[in-house]
Amino acid sequence: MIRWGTEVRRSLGQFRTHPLRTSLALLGMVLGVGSVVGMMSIGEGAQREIVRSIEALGGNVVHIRAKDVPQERLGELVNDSRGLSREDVRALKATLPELGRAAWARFSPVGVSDLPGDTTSVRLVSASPLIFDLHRLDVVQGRALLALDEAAGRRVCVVGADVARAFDGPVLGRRVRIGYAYFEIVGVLGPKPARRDLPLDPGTYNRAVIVPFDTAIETLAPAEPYKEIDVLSIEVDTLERTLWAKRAIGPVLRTLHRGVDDVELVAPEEILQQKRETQSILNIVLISIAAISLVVGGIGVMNIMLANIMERIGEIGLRRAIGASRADIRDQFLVESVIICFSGGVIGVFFGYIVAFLVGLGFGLEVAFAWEATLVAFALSMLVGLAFGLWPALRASSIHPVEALQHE
Amino acid sequence: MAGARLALSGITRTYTRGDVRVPVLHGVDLEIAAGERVSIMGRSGSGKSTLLNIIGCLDAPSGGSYLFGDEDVAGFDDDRLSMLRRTSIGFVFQSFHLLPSLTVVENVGLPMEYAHVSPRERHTRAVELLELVGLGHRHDHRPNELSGGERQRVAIARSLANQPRLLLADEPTGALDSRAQDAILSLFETVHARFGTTMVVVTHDERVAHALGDRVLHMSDGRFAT
Repeated sequence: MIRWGTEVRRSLGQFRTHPLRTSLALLGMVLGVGSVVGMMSIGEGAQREIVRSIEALGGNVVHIRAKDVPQERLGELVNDSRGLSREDVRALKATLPELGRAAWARFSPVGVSDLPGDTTSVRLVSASPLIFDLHRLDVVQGRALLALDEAAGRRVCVVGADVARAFDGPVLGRRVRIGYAYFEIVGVLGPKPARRDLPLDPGTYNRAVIVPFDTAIETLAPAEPYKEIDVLSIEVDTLERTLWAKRAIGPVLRTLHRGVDDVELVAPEEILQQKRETQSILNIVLISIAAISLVVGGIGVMNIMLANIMERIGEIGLRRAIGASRADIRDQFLVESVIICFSGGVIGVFFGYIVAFLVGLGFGLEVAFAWEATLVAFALSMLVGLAFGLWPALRASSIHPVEALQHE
Repeated sequence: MAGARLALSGITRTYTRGDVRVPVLHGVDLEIAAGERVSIMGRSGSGKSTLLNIIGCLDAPSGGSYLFGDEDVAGFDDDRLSMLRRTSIGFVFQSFHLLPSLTVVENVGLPMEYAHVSPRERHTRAVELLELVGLGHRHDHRPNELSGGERQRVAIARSLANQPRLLLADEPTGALDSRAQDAILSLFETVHARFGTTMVVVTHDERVAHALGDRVLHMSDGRFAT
């Protein structure tokens, strides 16, 4: 039976007699637990970053992208398929009533002039106004495009953050020339984080000029016979439902396009799962490496415990003589190693968080302070104390009392 | 607290050093009455310390029987021997064996920790025992602040902590000057008069042996000389 109060007080007294030795053992544990906690925080941060980036493009929205078709195959394709079009939206909604709101966009090569700065990479996006909702576009100045703009064929546009920044003075109310028509800027988008690794890079909108879809068809470029729209986004209830939506929409579109495989479906949930999987493999590798330093810390503690025991053989003999059982001696040293490890663990948690915070700051990574990591670290440090303290403690308890008493 | 009656018969103890078996005790017979004081003398290597360790249940005999009171302890396992040492036996060593990191009171109270005595009671009893050995004023000193004679007094107080039925001393005055020796010898007298504990003392000092023994036995080559 361990009398914790007594054992703990005794151990603390013991540490006072060897401050340097104890601090070094403690340091090993601090580094070990710290690196585990640090890695867990960085890993958890990366996971949350993934979720956020997915949600930046609308988490509960399934996206359908028209594939690029080589010009020379177009002739044979158009006999069977008209490509992605608004016709598809109507057909999909009729077939799958569970689908929610839909928005579509088309990326045109039409030149935009009267823009300051480098205009070569500016894209003209003709979009149905709902795109603002479905692609989570934040308007920071002015207003978004409205259904009324489209219905009335108004020549208005919303510009991306990078485009707006190039202007001197107020942006709203300016007129830019697109093709052969002038459009008034009525809104400016907030900046979107670029994620080139996503099928739909939200960063595209930073250098975009968005005009109402119908207005664009009327005044800029009439609908083409093939591929009326480039992106079709459809809302469902939840992020998880996007997987279902992808599976349900795929066959319907294939039928509508008469078997021509000219669209690509993107379900955020699927990307999320893939990315999470990649990230968690990476996390496991990182945490495993950190765990090695924890083991090294444990070996340090074991080393110190062995040294303590060698030095205190006489004490062990005396304790045995006055009636300590083997278990009493074992527990005494086990408590000491657990206390070193646990104290190291407590300091290590703070150390780990500080390191993770600094790493996050230095490399611009998101860092999440998960309370689970703290619990795991405490449990782990106790476990290390028990595991690496057990052998020295057993050695101490198996020394014969007579030999221990003779040891000077 | 009465003394324990001890009866050892045919006690042997053989050490194994590698492949070599070294017999140290060759069938020792010894009866000690409750409350009796026995001194064992002998040169080093005579087996007197080995016998004392067996009497003190620090070591188990290789053969023979050992009655401690009414119990045959020769076949006890380590845990039961520890329990017996804790409850019934007190040790006094030549080199005191005080723990330097503990105060005098804590050293005296140490055996009571293993007997699960509450801290408050431990302290009270330790203070009483320190009064008894004449160190009532030095509770909170550390052992290294005390003289050799004072340290041995603390050790004697500690040996009495759990009110043992048997008190064992291995060269208790071996490390002391003659004045301190006299003081310790008379302290043992006081303790015996007060508690009536059975006492076994191992020494090579004739004077100590006669001062502390109602009976003085001589050992050589693992036997009692007749």
